[in-house]
Amino acid sequence: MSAAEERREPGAKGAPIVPPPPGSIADKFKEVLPDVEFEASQGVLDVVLIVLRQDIPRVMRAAKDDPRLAFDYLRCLSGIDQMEQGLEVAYNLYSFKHAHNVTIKTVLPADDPQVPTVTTVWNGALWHEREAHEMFGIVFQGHPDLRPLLLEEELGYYPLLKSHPLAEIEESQEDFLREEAPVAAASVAGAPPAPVDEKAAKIALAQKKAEVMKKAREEARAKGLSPEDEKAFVQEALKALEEGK
Amino acid sequence: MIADNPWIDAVVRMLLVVMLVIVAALILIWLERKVAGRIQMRLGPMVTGPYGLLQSVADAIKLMTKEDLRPASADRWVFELAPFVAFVPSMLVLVSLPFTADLFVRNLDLGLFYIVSVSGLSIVGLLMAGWGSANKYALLGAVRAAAQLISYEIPLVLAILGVAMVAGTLNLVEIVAGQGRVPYIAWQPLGFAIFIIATLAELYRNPFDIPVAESEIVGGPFIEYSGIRWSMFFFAEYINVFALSVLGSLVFLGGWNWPLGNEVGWPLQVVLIFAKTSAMLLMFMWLRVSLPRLRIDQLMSFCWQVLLPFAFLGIIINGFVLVYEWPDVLLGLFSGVAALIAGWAVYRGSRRAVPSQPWSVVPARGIN
Amino acid sequence: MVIERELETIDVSFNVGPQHPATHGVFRMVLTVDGELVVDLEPVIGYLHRGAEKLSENCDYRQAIGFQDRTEYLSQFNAEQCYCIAVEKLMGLEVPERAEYIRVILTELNRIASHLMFMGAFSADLGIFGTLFMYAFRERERMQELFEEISGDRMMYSYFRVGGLAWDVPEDFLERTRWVLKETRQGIADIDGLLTQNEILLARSRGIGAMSAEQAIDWGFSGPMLRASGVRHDLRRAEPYSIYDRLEFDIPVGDNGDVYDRYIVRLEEMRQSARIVEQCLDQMPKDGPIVAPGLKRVLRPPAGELYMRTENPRGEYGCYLVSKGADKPYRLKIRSPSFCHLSALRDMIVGHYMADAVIILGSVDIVLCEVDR
Repeated sequence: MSAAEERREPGAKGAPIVPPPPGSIADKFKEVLPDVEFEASQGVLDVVLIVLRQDIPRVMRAAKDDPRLAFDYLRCLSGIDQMEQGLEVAYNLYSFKHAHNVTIKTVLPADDPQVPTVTTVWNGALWHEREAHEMFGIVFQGHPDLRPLLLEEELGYYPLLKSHPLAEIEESQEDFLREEAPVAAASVAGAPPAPVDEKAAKIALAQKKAEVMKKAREEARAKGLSPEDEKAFVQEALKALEEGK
Repeated sequence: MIADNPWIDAVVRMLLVVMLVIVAALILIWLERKVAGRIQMRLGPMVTGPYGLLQSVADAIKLMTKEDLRPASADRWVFELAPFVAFVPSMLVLVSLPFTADLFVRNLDLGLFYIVSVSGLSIVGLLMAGWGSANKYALLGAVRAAAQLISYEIPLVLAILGVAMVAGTLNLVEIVAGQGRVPYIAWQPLGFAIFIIATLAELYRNPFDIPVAESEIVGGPFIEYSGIRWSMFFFAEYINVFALSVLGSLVFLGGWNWPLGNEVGWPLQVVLIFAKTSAMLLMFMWLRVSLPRLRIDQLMSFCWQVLLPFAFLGIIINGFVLVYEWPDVLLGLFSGVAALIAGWAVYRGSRRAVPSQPWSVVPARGIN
Repeated sequence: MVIERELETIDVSFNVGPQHPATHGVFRMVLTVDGELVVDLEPVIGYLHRGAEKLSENCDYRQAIGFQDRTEYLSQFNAEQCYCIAVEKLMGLEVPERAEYIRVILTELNRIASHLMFMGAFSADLGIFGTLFMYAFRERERMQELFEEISGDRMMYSYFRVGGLAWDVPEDFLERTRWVLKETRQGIADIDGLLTQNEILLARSRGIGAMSAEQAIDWGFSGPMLRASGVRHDLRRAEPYSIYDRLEFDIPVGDNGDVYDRYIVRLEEMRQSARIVEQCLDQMPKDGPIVAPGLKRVLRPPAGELYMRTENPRGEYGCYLVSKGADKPYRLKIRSPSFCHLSALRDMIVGHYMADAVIILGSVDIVLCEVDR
């Protein structure tokens, strides 16, 4: 099995590797850079070349400067999180002179996501690399300004990584609120609340309501109620909470 | 004379004029919105009162009941006094503006001079607003406004000066009296053209409204004002528009005198002068909604490189014709020719940039 | 004796936006000006970031169509088409003829609507108080009514589906569209008459914000921005998709790449789009299926990845779609044209006056939702 095939997930989820047709752009690349290791395959639309990351500056510079390739247009630069196989960076290039396309990819190990920048070759890569960095944590060596572009500074995590959850984000927000608001357990029992500030009290009330609603919903689903009945059940639980105060 | 005591007479006349102008300003605001709406294919205010006539009143009530905000870092007295300093000169202009031969507050012998000099005072109010707002946008807008107003005062004054030369007096009633046969627009077409352009720039209206451009610096010097203070600036602008339109119809269009003469009763004269004023106002409103605005450097270069030389040319023509006592027709002739040359030069100068077809529409087969 | 001293000045740095009438959305520029001349500029984006790409990973392929609408809220059909074609190519589907024609008709009408919006916003930036805006919106309103009749929504259509369309168009679609087209042609002529030879527009937009062809290509421009700089490139011709290879249309190409050229290119593109719609209306099959046959309710494209690009009104809109054979996309990267154009904003604006900064930004025709996704 070639290295490329090893990188694909074993089993039905893997896509079969189709070699590119003869005379395609892969051959031109091999002609221009005979000593660089390419793994070429025919993607759905373009030819895909997988390159080692240390070869990226050479390959990109040759892609732009060599008149046979003349890739003067960087269409897109995407980061892809392949989980165990690491991170991938995909460069989509186009040439106005020859009207040909190519997709060049590199694979970065998950624990060392560094790749040399291509901003020296195309100015258009500036913002694309900034976005890939803040979303995936890929470090582009040599990039003049890797500040976050779309997200806030000092976020602490890289959202588009598969390890960052999507659906559980509400719970982590609740954790954050819980740290801020000191909720006295005594207020649940109905004792007059100690003079806490109003905001904390409101947060605590909202949290309690959310918990009650969640429990009521689970109960209703366990009973197998229809949606309207479920709603009514939840409303009753909320009313019970209000009256219980 | 309304009363024998000159003081009471003056006060009563002032109150009458102030009431008239405030009503006129309210109607003007409504009219501007309706005219702009109609040109833009919409109706304008329609809901408040029949045809939206009470819209200005509703706006006035809303503005009066708004919270009076002041930025914390604003220079307090400068910020609070700026609307007054901008508002008062507009009212001062009305002191010597006659509506007929008898309807004025005080007809000064130096009427024209007084009007021009007082109307320039409002710039101090704008500068105070810009400085006192502690806001960079306001400062930028105020400085631009100051530059624009100072520059365009000169062609305005020269245009009016031409009329004063022809009439031989600065007294507004006598200027109108001298237009019984022919309005001065026929003798001074170049002056009239310069007057219109300079007035648009004085009033900060499109296409010269860059200091108060909403789409760029969000209202310029007025950005931090709300409620009554802002409405004073707004009112001052409309009173200025009204006053300068009246001035234009007095000085160039024949006032109440032409074409019906001085003997017609004062109601008809008032109608006549308001008709001429309305014509000028409608032209200003029309220009406002149909032209893009000029950039500040283009505006300034237009003033100093185009308007000013032609204004001087107008004065020189007047000088020659009047000193050598050539027939009056020559005044109109030379001035008209100069106006045509000016128009043609500006037209050619601006069309230099017009492409005949700068773009190629390429048949798409055979690309790439 | 005259002593000449340098006047000491400070460069003022201030914000334009994020709440500002001129920035076409929640966008912030930090301008550093020396008097009126812009010395430095830093665009700050991200105020509208909603994580569309991450959210798409949690939706199945049909639900993700809704995100495309919300990313490109002025040319929704174009974005939906790009995404749908991407999935169709991945699955190897063939869209029936009638659906293709309807797709192209709606896409081109949407292109006209988007350019009309540009005309309105551009003229508002220029300082025309609102006249052109209302003219442009009169035409846009007709189109939005048509779209509402077809899809049920005025703005977020979600009408295209993988393999075709959601449902068939109403019966009077042909006549309605022809009528809309006729009125739109008149509207375009109105706008042309008001603006194209206007001396003030020329004075304010000739030579402003010019980008040469090499610069444009280097920064990743596409669409009208690229064509205004003189590069003859239109994805509908260079890499034809859908049925564009059967249609005859021209491509307007500018000279200098300045603001005026961009305006003119978009104006002419509207006319060409009208031409395309007419041809489609004539060539369209009267009836036929509108969805590819044999589609299951839950789509599972085979594993693979592709970068599908289409010609949006703003430029090249791309979907880099990675599929692992599941019912949800593994990675959906949206390549938005406004994002690439904004990265070059500094080069375009520095050296011009502050008033020009607003006009240049207007000429880029950004849509913040696709910049931020």
